[in-house]
Parts: sequence; structure tokens; C-alpha cells
Amino acid sequence: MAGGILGTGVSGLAAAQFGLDTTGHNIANVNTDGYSRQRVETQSTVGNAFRSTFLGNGTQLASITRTFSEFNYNEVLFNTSQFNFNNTSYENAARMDNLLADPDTGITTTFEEMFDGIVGVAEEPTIISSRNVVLARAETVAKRFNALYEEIAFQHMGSVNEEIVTTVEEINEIGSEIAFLNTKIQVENAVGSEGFAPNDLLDKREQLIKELSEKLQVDTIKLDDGTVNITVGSGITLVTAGISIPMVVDRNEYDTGKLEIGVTANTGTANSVLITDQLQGGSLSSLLEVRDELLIPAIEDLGKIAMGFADSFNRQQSLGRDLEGVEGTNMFNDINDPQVVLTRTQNSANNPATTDFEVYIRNTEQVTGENFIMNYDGATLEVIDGDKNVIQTFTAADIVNMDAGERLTIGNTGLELSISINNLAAGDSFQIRPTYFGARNIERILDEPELVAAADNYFELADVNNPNNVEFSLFELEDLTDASFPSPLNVPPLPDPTLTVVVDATGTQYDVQDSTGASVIGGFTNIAPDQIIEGAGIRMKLDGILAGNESFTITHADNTLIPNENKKFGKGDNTNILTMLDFQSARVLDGGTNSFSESYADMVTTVGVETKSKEITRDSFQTLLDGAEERLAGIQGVNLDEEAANLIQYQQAYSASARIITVARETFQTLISAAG
Amino acid sequence: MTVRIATSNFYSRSLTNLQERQANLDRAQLELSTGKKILKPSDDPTGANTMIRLRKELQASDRYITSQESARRYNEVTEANLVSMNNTLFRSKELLAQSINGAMDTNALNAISAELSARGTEFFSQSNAQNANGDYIFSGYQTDVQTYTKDIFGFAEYQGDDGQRELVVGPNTRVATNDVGSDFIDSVPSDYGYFETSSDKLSIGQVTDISEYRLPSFPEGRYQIQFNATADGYDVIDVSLDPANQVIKSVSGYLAGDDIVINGISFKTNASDPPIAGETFDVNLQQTSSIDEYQINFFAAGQYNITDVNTGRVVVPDTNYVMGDTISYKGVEFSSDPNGTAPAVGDTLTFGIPTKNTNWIIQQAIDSMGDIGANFQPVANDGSKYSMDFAAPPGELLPANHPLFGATPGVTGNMQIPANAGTATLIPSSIDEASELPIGDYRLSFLDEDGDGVVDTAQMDEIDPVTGRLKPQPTGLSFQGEYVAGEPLKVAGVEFLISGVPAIGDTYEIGRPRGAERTEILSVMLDELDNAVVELENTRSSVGARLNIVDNFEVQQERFKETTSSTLAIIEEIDIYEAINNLEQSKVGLQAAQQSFAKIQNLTLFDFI
Repeated sequence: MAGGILGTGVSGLAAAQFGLDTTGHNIANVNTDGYSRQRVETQSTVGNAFRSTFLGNGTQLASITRTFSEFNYNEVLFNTSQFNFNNTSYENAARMDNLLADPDTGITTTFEEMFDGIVGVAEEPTIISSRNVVLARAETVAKRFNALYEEIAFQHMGSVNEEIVTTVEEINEIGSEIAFLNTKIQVENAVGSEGFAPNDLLDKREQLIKELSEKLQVDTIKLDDGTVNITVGSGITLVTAGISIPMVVDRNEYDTGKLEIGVTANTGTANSVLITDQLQGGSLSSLLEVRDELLIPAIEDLGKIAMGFADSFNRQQSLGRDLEGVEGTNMFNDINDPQVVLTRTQNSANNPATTDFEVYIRNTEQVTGENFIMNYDGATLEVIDGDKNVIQTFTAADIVNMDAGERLTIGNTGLELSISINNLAAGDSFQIRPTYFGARNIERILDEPELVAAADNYFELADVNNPNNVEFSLFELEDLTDASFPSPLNVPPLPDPTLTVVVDATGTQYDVQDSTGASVIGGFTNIAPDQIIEGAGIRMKLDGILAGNESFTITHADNTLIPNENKKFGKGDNTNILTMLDFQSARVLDGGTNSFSESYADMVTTVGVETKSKEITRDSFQTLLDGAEERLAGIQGVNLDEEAANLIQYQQAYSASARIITVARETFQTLISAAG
Repeated sequence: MTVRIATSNFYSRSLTNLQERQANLDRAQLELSTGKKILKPSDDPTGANTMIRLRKELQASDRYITSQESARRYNEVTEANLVSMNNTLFRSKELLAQSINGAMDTNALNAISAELSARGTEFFSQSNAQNANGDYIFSGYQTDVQTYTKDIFGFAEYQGDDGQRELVVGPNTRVATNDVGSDFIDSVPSDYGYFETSSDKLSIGQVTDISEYRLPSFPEGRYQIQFNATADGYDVIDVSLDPANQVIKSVSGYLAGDDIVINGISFKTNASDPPIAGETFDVNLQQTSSIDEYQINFFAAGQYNITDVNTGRVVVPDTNYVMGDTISYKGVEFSSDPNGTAPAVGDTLTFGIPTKNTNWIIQQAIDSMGDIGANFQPVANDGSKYSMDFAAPPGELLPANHPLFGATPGVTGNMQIPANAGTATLIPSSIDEASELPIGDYRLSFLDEDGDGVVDTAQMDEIDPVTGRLKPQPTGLSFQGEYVAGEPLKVAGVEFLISGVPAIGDTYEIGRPRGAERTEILSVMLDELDNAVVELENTRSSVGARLNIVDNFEVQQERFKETTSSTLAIIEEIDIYEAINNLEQSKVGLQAAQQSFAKIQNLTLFDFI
């Protein structure tokens, strides 16, 4: 070799050069996300053997390492997932929060305005303009429900669905990039097996995994060949070595409009496995959770209130008479409209043939926003609530009856079931969602102010035998055309203007009889748990504990046999509209615990609590994430001051090494001159 | 070991901090500018829930207050109307009091009658009061129906119903906003009441002759009018009497439009739609007052009790009776026929405390003004007079010196004096000495005292106008006068001109002078007007009570609003000082962060190399 000292100088120069390059690289990447600062590690070369010792002959590059902490990185990953999960939840909850509480978009203001209008009619029922006000306000209530439904079920739900689709696409994109990087890293590792890790590829992959964590909480398994396997949930693989298994956006079994997440081993295979329930953390899980826990319940709660509102006013309308003395008609469209009742059940996509059920709301007081699943095992039909409890079992005989058009009550849910088209096969499954479309369907249909039924009806009720003082009241006049309906046109002997409601000795069955004692409903019938009974086109309510053998009469007061001046129609009668006014505080929802406004207030509170708690969790994860990132940045991040110092250090080393060469040259010159 | 800080992390952290401080400042500013600390439900979910509920309460409270104002308006309108009705009644009472004065001459009575009829019209239109919207305020729910219309006989008939419209003036509190005409115009307590028939051809019946008034007997408690085959006469039947002897009065010579009078109760008939041959009419004791209604229950053989229909309470305990007894309660008396059929066990007879319409009272008073004349009114016995005093021995219809005494045809419970055989008509000419003959009803008999077969004496015996039998001695008065053919007859200070010739035993019913009847009926009307005023006053006081309730609830609601609003403010609104303090702190914090960032971000080693 040309001379030890020169070589030593050159190696020093090279080392300083490496140092300067790396420092430059660090400075250049000061703002690169996920970049880990690199360090040049040099080692002294093994010296030349000189006599009994080694004479050092310079330095050599040991490695360029990145400063990285696996532990801190995993901490960042976890907190990223959690932060993004809560952040997305918060953002969506806050959107609902603003929507529901705003006086301009919330519903309570419209309720109050409607009741203001009702007071006007109660004051003087003959003034048409105040009746017009009630109709206009009723319209506002209906439209506000529609608008809220539109906003939540279409706008908000639409953007959530869109985000789910895009997020899944992004996840798949990231997954395939990671798989690609895995392949590259595997190759690089194999080539540079001496320990020259592909720092920047690793940084890039870690950055991608962090981006993935924003969408979904993932588990990583590092393999010896440098590749990383990525799994979600309980070991569902997204990326293994160079292969990424894409997630697919699937459809819910019952509701094709509801998106589910699935994976499929082979792209394009139809039979994907649904993994929606297994996903945790990240914005994707949050979107699914927001949809299931916030949006759908809100839609269903709104629907419940809308249906309760419409039904209460419709029933009260039916129990009154309008300005012309005619029985009132529906103010809002019927909640049990023949088309609507068909939309409340959904067939499973796995059912071989569809069976159409009709779900009727018999009592809005009992209805909740809860959904039910029905399973048919070939003989019986089981209705299961959200907590997996069987709340009703319909026998084969029941199914035959329902098929024949009979409506059977479902437990104590306020619902009735009937079958429209029967294709039941063993293994069939259905979902009942009673209130989902309630807020969409509400519509004011009463269009003439005269038709507001402010006056009382013409029925005189009397207790014949009532030891427990059970309150007997009319619930709804459902069908005025019923052959047994007590009408003034009916002339004795039959049908006649009086009906008698008789309860059996055990207080569990009732019958509706004409004046000869003949049943008009086909004999004694079971009394439902809500004690609402019906017959001859009239629905009646028994409030209280039945002692048995009760007997009540309903008489049409305008009959010619026993005319009753008390129930004579008068335009100035405001009895019925006063009952409507009572709805301002009457607890007619949620099992009799809430009024309309209160039920809505509960809904607003639920969303408010959700928003608040998500905000708090998000903020705490923000802090945790900031801390974790700061710690990671402390290790892997570039500090310009440090790099400046390094620059000076390497520059000096370079100068010194150059000096070594100069010294070598001068020494050599001196030697030449001396020789020369 | 010192902590490394990554340059880019330093910047992003500084940025985050600045943003956070800016957000704080923004929030402080927003709270200050809106004055609220709950801007979204999530700011305070529980508070938001309470807010919605409190707001609902406040809105409801506003509605209560709106209703209170309306309730006050309606009740004040009612009160104003009642006051003017009251004035009308007071003036009418004054007029009646004047007219009772016996010194009134025809002209004075005519003048009173004219003014009274103006008052009657006034009261009638006041009964039909309307509000600004054109609704009839006393018609109950029938606000578009004129409250009272007059039937073809001129009687005001209530057309409304008993609906009382209410408004909600407080939680669970309703106040009525109208009064029903039938409650205070129709329901004036009266000793005599009125009667309705089964047909529109007859008007309602009013008691026009107090002295002859008598209720139909129990258990049926009703009369029946039966027209004959030629529709020119009718029999009156007391349905409860022994079936064989039901007819209590038989009238011939009925002309379309004549009044039908039964025991002092007169019904008008319609000349253009008179009763036809063979037609019968039921006359029921009308249960007018639904407030006071009673029922006689014949719950066991020979026993009855009386219950209050509204309360169901027994007001007269179980009592024994035999046929022939009189059942009376609260001034209403039902007699019975000792030979009649006893009521079946389980039979009931419902009766009301009689009431009358104020309009009718005024109208009847006007009608009575025409009853003038101080002369007695003799009517020849045409054989149609019956006694219906069941227990009276037949002899008591005629004085003992009458040729038919003791030989009167008929049986107990239904007796008749045969028609006069003579042709004499008595025309009252004058009262010589009024003091000699007290006002009353008398039966005049032409007698042959000396037994020569020629009428020589006229005897007037006082009779009970209801039963038609002679009043027992010594209460009953008896006067005699000498009869000379062709000369005026003078009995007890009254002078009669006689045309035609009386036969021995002929009898005449001598009714009291019409002027006396007027005085009698007007005193009753005056009493009834007093009752009408009391009814009005009662209604006024209940209107006053309602206004009072409204006042109380107004105060209550205002207080409720006040406390609720302040509770709402505590939950919803910011403390202004705290908010300003927050704003200042946030401002200072942001400034400090900005300034320090500006200083620190300049520090870099590169500046020194």
C-alpha cells in the first residue's frame, strides 16, 4: 500500500463524508413523516501488524443505522387507532348534537307551536283561522320529522357509508403497499445480510402501518426475514409477506342498505366472511359503531316519537267531531297504512323465498326503537329481542291464523303480526324494525280546517258492574262501517245503538255483545297485556286491575230510542281539542314515562352524553398520542441543532482528515527533498 | 440524559398548543357573545335535558297565560250581559209591584203592560246575547244556534245544550268560559212550574189559576186529554184514578184556538193546527230542573221512599202508605185515589222541583195585565162539573137545603151535579158592598125555601176551588139573598142581573173577579221574578268565582315562570364576570404562547455557523 498514513487519512475523509451525507440526509428529511434519523457508525479498521502490535490504519463504515424504538412505535400505533376511533365518533356525534339541539332544526319548537295553535281552537272552536293555524303547525311538525329523517338517514348516513367505502379502499391500498414493501425489504435483507438494513424502506413501511392504524387497529408480527404480518380482530390476516388480502364492503343479511365488512381469500369471491363485529379501533370501526349505536337508534327513536305523535292525534281525531258534526278523520297519515306495515320486516338474504309480514303498531305507548329478529324452525316462529331473549313464540296454529289475516300480538311490545305472503321454510330469518320509517312517513293529510275534530264524540259510556273502578275509555274509532258499529241508523232489534262490553269471571277475557247478549266479535277473546280491546270497529281501553265480571255499555247518544242531549253536537264544543291539548304534557310514550318533548329530550341527552364522552376520550387519547409521538420523535426525530453540531463535527473531522493527507504529502515532500 | 426534541415535533406541538389556546379564546368569546354556556347538548348533557323540559314548561305556562286572558275575557263578557239582564229584571219587578196595586186603572195597567212588554223583548234579546264572533254565548256548545226562539204559541224555547266550554288555565285546572242559558234563564224555581204534552199542537201548560191548581195523582202522576169524535169537546183524565172513573173534567163547545184548562193549568192550542177527532194528549209533570230531581220508589207493597236522583241518596226514608194518601216532598204534592190501583212494586215516579223560564214569567205577567174587572164571574152548571175529591161524601157538593142533597148521582171518587134545568143567565152588574163578600169561589144554588114550588132564595156557599166541594163549616161561608123574578138578585153585597128563569136546584159557579185573579197571579210572578234574580245572581257569583280562579292562577303562573326562567338561566346562561375573566385569561394565554413561539422559533444553531 501506498502508505499507511495516506490511507488512514482517506478513510477518515470517507467517514467524514459519510457523516456529512447522513447529516444532510437527516436535515433534508427534517419534516418527513415517519422518518427516523440515521447515524453513521464507524469502526476502526483492523490495523497493520507492526512488530508486536497493530498499527491503526484508519476507520471504516460499520453501518448506517436508524434510531428507532419498537416499543414507542407500538405505543404510537395503539394511540393512533384509539385517537382516530374516538375522533371520528366525536365528529359524527357532534354533527348529530348540533342537529338535534338547534331550535331551528330540533323538533320541540314545532311541538310547542302546534300546542299554541290548539289553545287557539280551544278558545273558540268556530273560528276557522285558528283551525288553519293548527293544520299549518301540524304540517310543520311532520315536515320537521321528515327533514330530520332526511338529514340523519340520508345525508349523515350517506356520508358515513361513503366514508366506510373509501376507508376500506384506502386500507386495501395501504395493505397492498405494505405487501409490496415487505417483498422489497425481504429482498434487501437477503442481499445485505451483513446487517445493512434498508432504513428508508422500513421507515416507509412503518409510516404506512401508522396510516393503517388510523383506519383500523391492527396487530403486527415481525418475521425474521424482515417482513411484517398484519392482522385485525382475532387474527384475521390482512397482509402476510408479499400478499395482501383485501377487505370487501358487503351487504347486511337483512338490510341491503346497511354496509358490512367482509374478507375474502380470493378477490372477487362472493362468499366473503363478515368481520364487522371483530373490528376495533381506528376510524372504520368508529364509522360502523356510529352507524349502529348512534344513527340507526336516533332514526328509530325519532320514528317512535313521530308515530306516537301521529297516532295520538289521529286517534283523538277519531274520537271527536268536526265543525260539521261529522266524525273526525286522520290528521296525519295512518301509521298502520297497508303499504307501511309491509315495510317493517326484512327477509334475510339467506331465505330461499321471501315471506311478507305485516307489522301493526297497536299501542304507541309500548313501542320502543328496539329491533327484533324472528327465526322459523319449520314449526314455530320465535321472536328474539336485542338481548337474545325469546319474547314470543308463535305456534304452527298461530302461523295458520296469521296467514289467514289475524293479527297476533308480539309479547308486550305494542306490536301485532300478520302474514301477507307465506313462503316460510325452516331456517328462515327475519328482522323487525317497527319504527325505522316513522319519521319519514309522517305526513299531514287533514287539509280542511273544518275537519279538525274539536267537539266531543257521540258515545255515552256507562259502568254496569265495575267493583274495582276500572277506567273504561274509548281508544279509537277504527271502522265506522263495521256492521255492528253502534249507529243511529241501526234500528232495533239488531243491530242496535248500544253495545255491552263484558269481562269474564277471571278478568282475562272479554266479549262485546249487542243488546240481546249475542257476541259481535265471535265470543270471548283474550285481553292483551295493555288491556286495549276491540270490537265492532271500536278500540277501547280498560285502565286498572280487572276484578272479573265487569260490564260496561257504549251507547250512540243520537239514537232515536234513548236520545241523549248531553252528547248533542255543538259547534262550540271544545272537549276533544282540550284532550289534544293535554298531549303537551301527557306521558304517552316509552311505557307512559315520557311526553313527546320529554322523549325527544331523552334522545338529545343520549346524543349529548355520547358526544361529550367521545370528546373526553378523544382528548385523553390526543394527550396520550401526543406524548407517545413526542417520545418517539425524541428518539427518531431530527433535531436541527443536533444536526448542525454534527455538521460541524463532521466538517472538522473532514478538515482534520484532509490535514492528515496534507501532512502525509508534506512528510513525503520533506523526505523527497532530503533525498533530493 | 437530556431529552431530545425533534425539530418538526417541536413545531407541530407548538402549533397544537396555539390552536388549543385559540379554541379556548374562541369558546370564551362565543359564550360571552351569546350569553350562554350550553351551546350544544354535549356541553352539558344533563343540563340540556333539563333545559328542554324547562323550556317545555315555560311554553306550557305561556299557553296557560294565553288561556287565562281568554277565560277572563269570556267571563267578563258573560258578566256584563248578566248585569244588564239583572237591570231589566229589576225594572220588571218594579212594574209588577206597581201593577199589583189594586188602585191601578185600565190606562195605568196598559202603560205598565206596554213597558213590561218592552222589557220582555229586551230580556229575550239579552237571552240571545252574542259575542264579537257572532257566537251565541248562552247556547252551550250550540254557538251557532240562537239561544231562544219562540214557538208558535210565543213561548221562548231553549235551543242550545248544556255544554260548558272550558279552558286550561293551569296544570290540571280548567275554567268554564260560558254559561248555559238553560241553567239560569230556564231554571227559575217556581211553586207551579210548567207542563209539557206529548204533542206540538199544545203549548206548554202554565198555572193560570192558582186556586184551582192541583197535580195529577200518583202513581202515574199525569193527566190525559181525550178529544171526542167530533173534535169539539174533550175529556180530561187523571190516569192514576180508578179506571172506571177517570174523567175529571169534560168540556164541550171547544173551538180551534181555545185554551185547554185542567185544574188551573192552561194550554194554548193552535187555531191553524187544532187537535183532531179522537186525538189524545199526555200531560206529564215536567222534570225541568236536573239539579233537583227526585224519585218516588214503590219498592215494596204499601211502602215508598224518595231518593235524590243526582246523588242517589234517600231523602225520604221508607214510609208506609195506603191508597188515598198524599205523598209530598219539597212542596210538590201527589194525591191518590182511595179506590185506585196501587202502584206495582218497583214502579217509580220521577219529579223535579218545578222551574220556569224567566221569559215566560215576564210574558205571563204581561198577559195577566189584561185581567181586569172587579166583578164575580158566574157560570151556569151544564152538567160537566166534576168533583175529584176522592174522599168526599157526595152530599158535600151541595148545601143540605138543596133538593138534590144526598141524592147526587155518582159514586165516591167521581161525582157530578146534573145540568141546570132552568134557562137563567146571571150577569154580574156591580158589587154593592165589597166588604160583605170576601173574595173566593162560591156555588150559587136557587132554592125553594118556603116549599111552594117557586124559586124564592139564592144561596152562595163557599167552595174549595180544587175539589169543588163545599168548605166545611164554620170555615166555609154561606150567604142568602131573596130572589124575585124580574128583579136583580142581591146576595152578600153583589148584584146580579138575571135573564131567563131559574129552576129549583139550579147551580152556578161564581168565580172570583178577574182583577183579584190578576193580583193573585202577579204576586206569584213577582215571587218568581225574585227567584229569577237570585238565579242570575248565583250565576254572576260563579262567574266571579271563575275570574277569581283565573286571577289566582295568573299569579301562580307568573311566579312559576319567574322561578323556572331563573332556574333555566342558572343552567343555561353564563356568569358574566366569570366569562369576562375566562376571556381575559384565554387572551393572555394565547398572547404569551404566540410571543414565546415567535422568540423560540428563531433559535437555531444554523444562524451561528
